[in-house]
Order: sequence, then C-alpha cells, then structure tokens
Amino acid sequence: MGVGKQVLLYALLALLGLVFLLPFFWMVSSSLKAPEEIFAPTPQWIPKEIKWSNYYDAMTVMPFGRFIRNSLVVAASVVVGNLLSASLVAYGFAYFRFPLRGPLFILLLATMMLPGQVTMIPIFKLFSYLGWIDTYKPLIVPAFCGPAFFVFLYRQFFLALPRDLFEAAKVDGCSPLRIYWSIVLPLAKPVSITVAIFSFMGAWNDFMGPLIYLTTESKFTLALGLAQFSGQYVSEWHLLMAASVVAVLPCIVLFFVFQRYFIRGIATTGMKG
Amino acid sequence: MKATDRLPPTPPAGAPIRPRPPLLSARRLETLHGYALISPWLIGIVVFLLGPIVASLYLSFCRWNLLQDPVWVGLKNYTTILSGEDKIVKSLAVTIYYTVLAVPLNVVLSILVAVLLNQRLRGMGVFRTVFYLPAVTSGVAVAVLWAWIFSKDYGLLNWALGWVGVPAYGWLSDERLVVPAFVFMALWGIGGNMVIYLAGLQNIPRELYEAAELDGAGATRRFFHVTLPLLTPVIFFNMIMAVIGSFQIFTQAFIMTKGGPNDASMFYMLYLFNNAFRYFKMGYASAMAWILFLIILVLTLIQFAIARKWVYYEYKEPQ
Amino acid sequence: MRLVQILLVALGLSLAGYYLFSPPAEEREDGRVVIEFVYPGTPSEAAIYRKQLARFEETHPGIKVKEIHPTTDINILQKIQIMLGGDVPPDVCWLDVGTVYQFAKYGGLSPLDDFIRADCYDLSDFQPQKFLLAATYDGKLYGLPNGLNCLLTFFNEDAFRRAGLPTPEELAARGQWTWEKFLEVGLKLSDRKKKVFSHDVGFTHPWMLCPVLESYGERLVDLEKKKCYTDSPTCVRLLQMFKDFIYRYNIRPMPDQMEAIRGDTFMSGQVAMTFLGRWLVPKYAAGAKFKWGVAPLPAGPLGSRTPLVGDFYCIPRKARHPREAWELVKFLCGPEGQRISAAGGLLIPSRRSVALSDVYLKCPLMAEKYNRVFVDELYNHGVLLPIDEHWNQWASDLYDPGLASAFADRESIEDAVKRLKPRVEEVLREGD
Repeated sequence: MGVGKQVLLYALLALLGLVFLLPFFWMVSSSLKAPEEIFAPTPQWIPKEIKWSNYYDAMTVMPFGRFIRNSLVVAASVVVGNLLSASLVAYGFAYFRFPLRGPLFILLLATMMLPGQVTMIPIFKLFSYLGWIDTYKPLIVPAFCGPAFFVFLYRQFFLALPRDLFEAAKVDGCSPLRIYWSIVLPLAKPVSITVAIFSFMGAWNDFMGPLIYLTTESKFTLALGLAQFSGQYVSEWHLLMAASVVAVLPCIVLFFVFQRYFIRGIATTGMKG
Repeated sequence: MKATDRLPPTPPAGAPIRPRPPLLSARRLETLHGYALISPWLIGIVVFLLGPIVASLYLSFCRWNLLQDPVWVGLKNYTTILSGEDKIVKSLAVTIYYTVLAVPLNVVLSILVAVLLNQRLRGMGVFRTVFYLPAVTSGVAVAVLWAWIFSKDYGLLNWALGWVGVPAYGWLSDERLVVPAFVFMALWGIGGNMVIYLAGLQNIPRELYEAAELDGAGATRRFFHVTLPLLTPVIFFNMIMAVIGSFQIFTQAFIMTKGGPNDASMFYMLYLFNNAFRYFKMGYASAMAWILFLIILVLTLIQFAIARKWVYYEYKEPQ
Repeated sequence: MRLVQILLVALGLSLAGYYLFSPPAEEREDGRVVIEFVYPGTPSEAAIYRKQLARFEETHPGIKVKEIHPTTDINILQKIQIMLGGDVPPDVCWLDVGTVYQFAKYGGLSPLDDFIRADCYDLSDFQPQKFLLAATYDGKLYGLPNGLNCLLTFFNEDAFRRAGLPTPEELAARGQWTWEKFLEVGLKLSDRKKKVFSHDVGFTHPWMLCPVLESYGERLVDLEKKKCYTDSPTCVRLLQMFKDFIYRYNIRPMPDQMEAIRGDTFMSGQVAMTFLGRWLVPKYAAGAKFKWGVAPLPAGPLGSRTPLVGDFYCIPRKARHPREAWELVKFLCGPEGQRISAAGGLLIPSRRSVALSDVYLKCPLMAEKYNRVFVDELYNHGVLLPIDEHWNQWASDLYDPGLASAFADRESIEDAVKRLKPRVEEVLREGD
C-alpha cells in the first residue's frame, strides 16, 4: 500500500492503541503507588514515590511462585485437552453425516446457554462423589471432552475449507484420522493457535473453578491468589495491582510470540497445490 | 437351483474387476465414524452434565435453601417469574438493552480492527498484542481498574474527556450512563474476537484478492466482495457467542456496581446470583436460569434459520 | 500395526482410568484427626489465624487442622454455601452476624447446646450477652462469638483543632455530642469549593440506621410482627436530616461522588469524620498523617447507640468430626485464642475478661482511651440489629438502594418510605 496510506494506518492504530493501553498504564502506575496515593482526588500518572517494594511484597506475602507453577500445570493440560478434543469433535460434526447431527449440534451450543450458577452445586456434588474435590481433575478433565466454544469455532473454520481436498483423500483410500491429521489439521493452524491462546488465557484467569474445587492452599492457582488481596475488612489495592501486572506478563509474552503464526498461515494456504 | 447360482456374477468381459463390497455401506461407515469422533463430547456430556442439568431442572420446580432438602412446589417459581415480578422485568430489560448495544458494536469493531491489523507491515505484532492485551486480563483487578477509570471525580475517563471540554459525568452512578459504560468496557475487550477474525482472514487465499485486483476492484470493493463473504462463518460464530455472552454478563457488575444505581445495572445474571446465594432461593434461581436458557435458545435458533441466507460455507455438502 | 495401535489405546485408557479414579486423600494424618476450618482474610489477617491454629495444635496433639482459606468474605460465603449445599461441609466455619441466623434457621448448623452442657461450658464471660442472641434460633445457640465490632465516630483531630472546634471526644465527655452539634461542627469543617466535607458516610443502610433510630427510642422493623416503621415521623425526620446534610447544609458530598470502589477519604483528609468499626484501625495507625481519635456516635434523646456486629464460629450440621470441631471452637473463642487475635487489633474480643485486659486495652494501634471507647460503647450502648433470614434481601438489596433516588434528590423522603414500607414487609413475610 502507498506510503500515505501506511502513515494513516499507523496513526489510526496508534490513537486507538493508546486508548486501549491507557487502562494498563493506569494499572502499572497504581501498582507502583503507596496505598493512599491510589485514590488521590486528581489522577496522578507518575507516583510521588515509586514503590518497587509493592511487587516484592505482593509476591512474598503468598507463595506466588507455587501459584504460578500450579496455574501453568492446569493451563498447559487444558490447552492440550482442548486442542485434541475440540478439533476431533468439530471434525466429526463438520464432515460426517450421521443421524441427529443437527439436533446434537444445537445441544452442544445449548450447553453454553444455561447459566453455570445453577448447575454449580449439582456438579460439585458429582465431583465430590467421584472424589475429585481438592484435585485438579474438575478443572482439566472437562477440557478433554470437547468444550462447546472451541468445537463451534473449529467447526466454522472447517466448513470454510473447500471440499475438494477432503474428497480427493477419501477416494485415495485415506482413513478419516489420516485425513484429519495430515490435511485438515495443518490447514487449521491459525484456528488451533487461537484455541491454544484462548484456552491458556481462560485457564490462567479462571477463578471460579479453583475457588469451588480446591481447598488446600498449596494447590491454589494464581487467579485465586490474586483474590486474596481483597480481604475481610480491607482491600490491598496496590498489592493487587502489582500482582495482577505480574500475572498478566506471561500471557502477553505468549501472545506476542504466537501471533506471528497467524500471518505465517497465509503461506501454507496453497490449496490449489 | 443351479450350481452356478452360488458363484458371484461373472463380470462381462472388458469391465473392470471390482473388489468385494465392504461389510458396512459407505453411509453406515460415515455414521460410525461421525459418532466415534464426537464421542469425547458425548461421553463428557453424559458423565458430567446430564445429571447436573436434570438436577437443576428438578430444582427449578422446588424451593431449596441450599441447606435443607428441596421442597417440590410445582410451577410456582415459573409463574412468579412470568407474572412479571418487579425486579425480573427490570433485570431482563437491562440485559436486553445491554445486548442490543454490545453485540453489533462488538462485531463491527472486531472486524474493523482485525482487518486493520492484518497487514504485513512492521510493528503489527506489537499492535496486535496491544489490542489483545485487555482480553487477557480479567477478574477483580480489571473490574477495580474500570471502577476507578469511570469514577466521577478522580477517574481517568473524565480526566481525559476534560481535555476536550466534556463535563464530568458519573458513568457508574448515573442511571442512564451505567449500561453504556459497561458496553464501553466490553468493547475494550474485543481483542479476543479480533484474534478469531485474524485467524479467519488467514483462510482467505491470496489468489482471490489478486484476481479481484486484476478485475479492477479497489480496496473497499475487495473488502465487501471478497473478505466479508468469506468471513461470514466466523461472523456467524461471533454473533452467536456475543449474544450468549451478553445475556450472561455478571462479574463486572457484581464487583463494580452491585446492580446499582437503583437497579440500572441489575443484569439478569446478577439478580439470579443474588437469589441463589444471597437470598438462599436456589429453586427460584434455577427457574430463572431455565427461562434465560429458553430465551437464548430461541434467539440462537432464529439466527441459525436466517444464517442460510447470508453465511457462505466453502464446504458444500453432497446432496 | 493394528495390534500396536490397540495396545497403545488400551494403555492410554488404563492410564486415564487410573488418573481419573484414584482414591482421594485420607482423612487421618499420622494418627491425628483432620478437621477442616474455613475462614476469610487477606494474608496479613490470615497470619493471626495461623498463630491461633499453631497454638491449638500444640495444646491438642490429637487434632490437625486443615485450613481452607480461599479469599474475601463475599466469596467465602459462596464457598461455604457450595460446601454445605454439596454435602461436603467443613468442620468449623466462620460466619458473620449477617448470615449466621440464616444458616441456623435453615438447618445448616449444629446447635452447640449439647456440647455446652456436657462440658459445663461457661458462657457468662461473653459480653455483651445479648450478642449471643444473634446466633440463636428457636432457643438454641448455633455459634460462639469470636470478636465484636461496633460503629464509632472517627475524627481527624488536627482538622478540628485547625477550625478551632472541640473534638467529638470532648463533646461526648460533656454530653454535648448530638446530631445538632454534629451539624454545627460540620458546617465549620466543610467547604464545598475545596471539596472538603465533614463526613461522607450515608446512614441509609439499616445496620447504621437502626442504632440511630434506637437512640430516638424507635425501631426500623419489628421482626415478630413483620412490620416496617420507616414511615414513622421520627424516621422520616432523621432521613430528611441526613439528606439535608447533603443538599441543604453541604457538609456531605453528593451521592454520585461516593462510589462503590473508592479511596479512603478520611485518610486523605478530604473528610474530617467517618463512621466505622475497628477494621481500618491498623491501616490508619500505619498510614494516617494526622492525629485522629474515636468517639461515640452522635446521640439522640436516649443517648448514643451503636450496632453489635461481629463474627461467630459454627459447626455445620453434617460436619464429620463434631467433637474435635467443638474443641477448636472452644479454643478460638477461649481466653488464649482471644488474646492472640486481640493483638491483631481488628476486633474487640468477645470475652469480657480479655476485652478489659491489657492485651486489648494496651493494643499499641491506638491510645488506651480510644481502645476503651470501643468497649464502653459496646457494653453500655450496643444494640442488636434486626437480622432475620431475609436480611440480605430487604436490608442490603431493597432498603438501602431503595433510598438512593431520594438521596439523589429525585424523590422526596416521604414518597420513598411510602414506597419501601410495603415491599420490606412483603420480604419479611416471605417463607411463611
């Protein structure tokens, strides 16, 4: 595109980007302030006294490292589970005809429509019956069972691929799994990366699940740890902000690293080849 | 019967030799494969969801205070809700208002941002990260952050607006502004949808763009005639999920306004939560949940019905 | 090829099966009974609990306590509800005065009377005795009080001196600290242009309004008769007075400046007075840059009144080890446990002997005379709040927000209370 257009684009993006970033600057700024300063009558961008100690305090007052490790374990497992099961299930829904396919797909979507609050206790009872309370199983195992959101996403992408490849491979005698593995999955790289990113973020930030199912503090995840800064009488905002900044850093890094694979995808979309 | 009847029919001379027909017909095999592939989901649903869903349906016909056994009351919960009990009507109205504002804005903005960021220019990676960043942070910190930003006296928003001469409004304390404030907050988090659109944009082969360019189509025409149609599967996804998500908005209101001011942000889910966990009326809350479920289901089915007209799938089913 | 695939699948399935269905952790750890104890708090608050628990395990070698300490008090309630609703209750749980009655009435807790009788446990040291009523249902006691709190006037002594005014402490000593006087000093302390006010706490929530009404000899609701008296002339007059503080006398900021999440206007000096319990005392002691003190609430014709709030330790009905749970409850509410928590300074000990001892009175966070004010007010002027099982619904979610439009000056007080009275009564009657 022309230079003029490029400049315009950058300007627009910079402006929008600034709006998007402002809350973050605020968050970082607050994380470096003394508690009284956070709610000063006029917004202060630069703290009077930069308190790096907030970060130290936030990370030492609870077993931060352990929480991060726990969150990583859960998030990684969830990502693997989601990638495998969601793509397989979506593959089935997209390319295979079987009786009740339509209604079953609607059922899949329907599972997202019932508010979780009312199934919380029956599900809790179920997991307690299975003996899974205070383990990571309630958080990880459902990821291996084709979660609706990702199945839907994969299915939309699969249906956007042309049928020819699929047919050609079938005629050649490839088994469905072969086709899935060698043709469909590689073409769905952008989606898979999206699913991986979303799964990771979802599990990383999930607060409700760990709150309900975990009781031993050494098993807590980061999201649960962050909630501890709002106490019974008082909330330690400055520490909460500092801890939140630390919690968000891995996600930023991860996203930044993986987002370029989106663009790489263009090169491999040579379908006529 | 002749001896020759038991032999397979001899193909006429010159015709290709065909292998023995397989055990299962192609159709049956496809069915088998289909079910096998979706089995993880089926098993998951049966094991983890079936029981609790049936339980919550049963509870919706009961009065249950969480601590004692549920007591059957028949349709009482439902009649109370459908008779338009004060707060129910208000909470549904607030939620619908929010959805009507949030969904279209969400879809349009996500597509726009994704298209802008789909260029192969330097620094795009940084921008993509910047726009995605908000979607990554969640929980108490973000809600608190926005509560400050929207604050009338020392909030960021009013401070920034003050530079362009806009008077300081109470975004979270004014009944008329609180729902738009939540919509604004939701738009800040469109990074997630943007990512999905980016992925969708990758699926559009370059050849189509090149062909269109050769035909003399400018950027706008390319967008409306190449990009948008091929993005429709993803747009459909976005719309469905946005509707489902908007109807269930809860956490931010819970932390930031608790439904205030004067119930102007008492979203349906928030009222449901209050009934379930603050008033110990779990049965009533379950009935509320099932009614919400029906509303969302109907809306989704309508969207699916209309989808035929505008969603374009490259993959065409054999007839 | 196929055989290998089948073997792999079989292996995968059995590994999955083992992972999924392995038995849960055991309930006894090296011979000791493990009991679960749920409590809330920030890490610094948790430190106090841990000290108590360490001492408990020292003195009770047969019991090990597993702490379940997830988070804030809103979420902890949800956690407790899910545990109880899901039939996996802890052995001891913390409940605060607003919810313990609900849990007791709905059958979630075990009455403690049998334990008390069996151990000849002496309850007389728990003062004020009437606080035990908050955890009593149908004549049975369902929790032992851990600590108390009340509402007092916190004042910025430097601000008062600068304005040449006597402090609320001095005025109360002379018996002059009334609402009229409150207005008088407020006028001199406030300056709307400079965004400085005398106070910014509203008295619309029943937990604050009820004691003020009591100091005028009236009640907001009658739980027995399921009646609400918010439309009585005295109540309307008081509400109007609070409203006039905002609009007529400008000694309190407008409601839309008092948002749900905000900073501490007392500590930043924007307001000269605030109304709180002890829970922010450690924060003020550490961070306030001015001299401050506490005094009773402004008095009505009958004197000053203050609400009795606090928390209890209870034993859920389906707790697995009630005997051991009782031992823990006894310890935490016993003299030794109380002494440890008194050192933290957030609560007033529920035991009179500890509250009047040096551990509490000489707590370094405040001058002794101020520590004493809490105790004096609690014992002499404490009133029980009308908490029933619908407290959340009518007090926090109906009455308090219901007055919002009146206090935003979109409605008159008379109209608001006329509107609210039948709705409150409707909620009070629910479940009958």
